Amino acid sequence: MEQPILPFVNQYKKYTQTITPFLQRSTTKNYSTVIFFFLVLSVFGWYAIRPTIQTILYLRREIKDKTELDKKMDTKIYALIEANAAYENNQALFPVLSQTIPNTPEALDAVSQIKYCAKENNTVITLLQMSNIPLATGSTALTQKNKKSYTEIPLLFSVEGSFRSVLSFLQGLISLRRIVTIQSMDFIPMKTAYASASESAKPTIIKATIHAITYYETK
Amino acid sequence: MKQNNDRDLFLISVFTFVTVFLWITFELIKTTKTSTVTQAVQELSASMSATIDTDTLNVLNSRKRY
Repeated sequence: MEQPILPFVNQYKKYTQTITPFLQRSTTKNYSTVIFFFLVLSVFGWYAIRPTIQTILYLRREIKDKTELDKKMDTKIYALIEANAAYENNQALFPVLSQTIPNTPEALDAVSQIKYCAKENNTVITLLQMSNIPLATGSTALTQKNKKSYTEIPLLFSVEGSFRSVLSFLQGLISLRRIVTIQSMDFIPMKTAYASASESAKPTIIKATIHAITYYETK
Repeated sequence: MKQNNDRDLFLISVFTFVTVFLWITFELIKTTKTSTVTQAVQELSASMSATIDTDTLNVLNSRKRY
């Protein structure tokens, strides 16, 4: 008995016989050509053309960006050199900034400045109140809460003295290097302190109650 | 019937091609428009003024400190 060379040829012959006339039809030939053309173009475009053009465009964009960046960096370097020169020239003035708005609350410094100002202008501080002041600055809770670059420290104090003394005290207060902003003031004449003296002999003492604010830098 | 199959396959291949073509086009446009410089470098290269307000510093310096 004769053995076939390929045992499965007969088994699948019916399929090839069915497909062959279908493939030989002219419409199928035309359609299959066009279909494979589009599919091959799609696959080739996705895996070959796209990465190539993408790389080209990316590199062109990178060259453009880096050129602009180079120009910007040059400008910045010149600006930094100029800033460094300006800093060197005015180096003696910069400690003034930390005295004006210090990095830490330095509440005692503010109080002593006000106290010396009062003393120099012949006035007496009878009351001085400050709100709660955080000793540790730069904590995360504080910086998250306060988005401004500075923090306000409210002050409440009373000074007594003659009209001219209080006036000069106020002028001295607003011209302190440590910045103090006056928010409101109340003036009360203090003639009741000298009840035994005659009306004309009573000194004109004024009590000024001042709501003010001083500041420190928040980083 | 067979001709309809051919037409369907043809349409599928055309739509596939159009989709891939549009996808490639938009991806290339995105590549062109997207900056290659990182945010940190952009912040680093931001312009700055080199002038120092010495008038204000002098005014502050002239204020009184005890």
